[in-house]
Amino acid sequence: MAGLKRHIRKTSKFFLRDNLILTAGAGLGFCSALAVTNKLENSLTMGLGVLFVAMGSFSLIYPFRRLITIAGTHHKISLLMIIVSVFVTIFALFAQAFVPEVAASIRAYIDLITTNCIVLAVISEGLTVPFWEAQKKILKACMGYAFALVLLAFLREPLGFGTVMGFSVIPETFPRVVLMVTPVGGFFALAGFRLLMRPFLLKARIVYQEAASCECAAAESRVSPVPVSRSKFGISRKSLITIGLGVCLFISIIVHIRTSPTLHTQFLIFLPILMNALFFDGIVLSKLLGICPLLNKSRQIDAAWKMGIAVIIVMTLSTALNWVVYNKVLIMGSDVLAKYSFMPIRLEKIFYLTVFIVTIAVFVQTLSVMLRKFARTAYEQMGQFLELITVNCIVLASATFTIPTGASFMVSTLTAFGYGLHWLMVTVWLALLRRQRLFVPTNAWDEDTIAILLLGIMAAIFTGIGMIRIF
Amino acid sequence: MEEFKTFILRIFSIIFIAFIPCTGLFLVYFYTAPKIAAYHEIKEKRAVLDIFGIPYRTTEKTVMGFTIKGYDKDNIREVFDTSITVEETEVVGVKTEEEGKVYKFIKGGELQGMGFIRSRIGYGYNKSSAMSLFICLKPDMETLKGVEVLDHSETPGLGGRMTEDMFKEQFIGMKLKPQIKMVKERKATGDNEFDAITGATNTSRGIEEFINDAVQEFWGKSGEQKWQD
Repeated sequence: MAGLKRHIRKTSKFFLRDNLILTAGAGLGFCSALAVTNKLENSLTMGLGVLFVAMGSFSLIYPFRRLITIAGTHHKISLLMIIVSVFVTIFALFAQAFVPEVAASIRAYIDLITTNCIVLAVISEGLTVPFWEAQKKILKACMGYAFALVLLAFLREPLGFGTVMGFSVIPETFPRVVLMVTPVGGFFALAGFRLLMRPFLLKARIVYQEAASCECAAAESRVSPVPVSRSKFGISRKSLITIGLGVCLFISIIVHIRTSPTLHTQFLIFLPILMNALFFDGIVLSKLLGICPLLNKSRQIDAAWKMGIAVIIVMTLSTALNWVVYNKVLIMGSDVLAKYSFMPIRLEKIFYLTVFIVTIAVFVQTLSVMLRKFARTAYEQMGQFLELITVNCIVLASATFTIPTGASFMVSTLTAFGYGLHWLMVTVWLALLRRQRLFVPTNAWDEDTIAILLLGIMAAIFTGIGMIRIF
Repeated sequence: MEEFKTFILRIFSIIFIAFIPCTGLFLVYFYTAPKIAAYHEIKEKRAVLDIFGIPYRTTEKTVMGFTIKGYDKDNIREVFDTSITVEETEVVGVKTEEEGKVYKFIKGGELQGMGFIRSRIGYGYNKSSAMSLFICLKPDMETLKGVEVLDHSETPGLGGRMTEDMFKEQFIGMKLKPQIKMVKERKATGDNEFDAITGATNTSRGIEEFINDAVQEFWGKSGEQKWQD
């Protein structure tokens, strides 16, 4: 009996200690954890995918680790992502062949394993230690991720659908909590789970309680290094007037746009798309992506603004570029190939992820070089954020969500722009809310939990707006 | 010069490293592509057969009290080929060949119904990606025989529930004139109304608009029915 108890304690500690989603304060890997956990089979597929991709690509990369580590941090991550994207495509193809229904419902999130923070973090960390030790670490991190996903799914699926793995477990008469299976429910479920487990985790010393004063001092010291550039983003009277005039002009254009019929038809097509991307179907609050950089960058308002603007620029331009590459190179290339090859090869189905990643990485590198040459001040402000953006899942997501579905150039670019604006809006909003210190968190872990809860409330507000019919 | 050399070296080495999994990827692609294609083909054919009510062989297994349903692929192909006539029509404004096809079910010399596939952007909650429906009409062209969702990218678990039978069954026998309507917060009563999915009003509205628009287009081009009424 005692042996069993010890086993249980050991297993739970293995899964819970340093579990990136449930107990660590780093805030990594939340995006997919929130998005796919409304069904158990989705969670299992996702966990398996992350495990396969992480271990497979690590085994391949390890022999070449010297080559990759000398490339410098930012290049290193781009190189890793190219390899990882190939493995993700392999897994996506297998998933489509063997579990087609699951793959159809979480296809978008399988593609985004490429930018999954956990995969990239464990691989780049593992390059510095011996092979088997690193494999053990990867196994632990990925199993912990899968375990957290399964736990969340066990909370959400029975409550929301009344089923587990598609089999009914709760009687029909029992009320269903629809909130639990919506994206909003993801935030609430995770935050609730973390809050419920908090006393237990504190007692088991998996999460440490820090002294409150320490945290405040740390927060102050974190804010202090950038007081000079703050005036740039403060609103002066002149800029206020300019913004007001701009808004008036915009409204008047919208009101009078009927006078020009061609513009009016274009407007009727494009405005709903932009509004949708900006508010109702936003990348953070409805698609649940880009949460890791959001949580980390929203600690300071200044960083939030800069990162957001960098994200908008990179997202819009790289999605436009990706559209051209996908439609003009991949599809036309495979059309040409179809004439000569004896087998049907569709390049856009095999290489789209890799090509998107390469395009984004090359674009970001070029942009940072250009900025360094021609706009030194802008580079000093934005440079560090710009280089991190390659890893950001929303940049890849804005490409994979729109382009392979056959959206036109304007639609995909506008959607990407809307997503970027949405991200900026949410980040700044969250930064403002967190600055108020509504609840005084005692450690980084609590701070993340509260941020997730706040995001959930925001998402609830936006889902409410989405219900109202505007057009 | 030295910098350029390392740059070239790096590019070649990354191509070399990526080459290994890419060969694997090609192999996996050749292995899985027929399977994925077969899945989509069978899904489409099953949708057509289900809507026309044509029986095909199904299997049911019971494991530990749970029933697992299966079906016979070859049988589905055979039944489809014998009973459904596929006509290729030339339509203005339709991009792919898929959309030009009209599926007709003729039994005993009489037309039982006709269906068509449409996939469009701009409907539902996720407006920037495509939704693909198989819509089937009765021979009087005014009544729906059924609707099947072939592809969508709605939120899983919310708008994604439109693939459930409970939702799709509502469309059987629905009148398309003057227009179909979605109702929420009350039970659907009229023969051109259907209940919205709980919590996914935008998706339901998307389907409403989708069917109305697609049918309007279909009527317009088939020439058997005038849209203006």
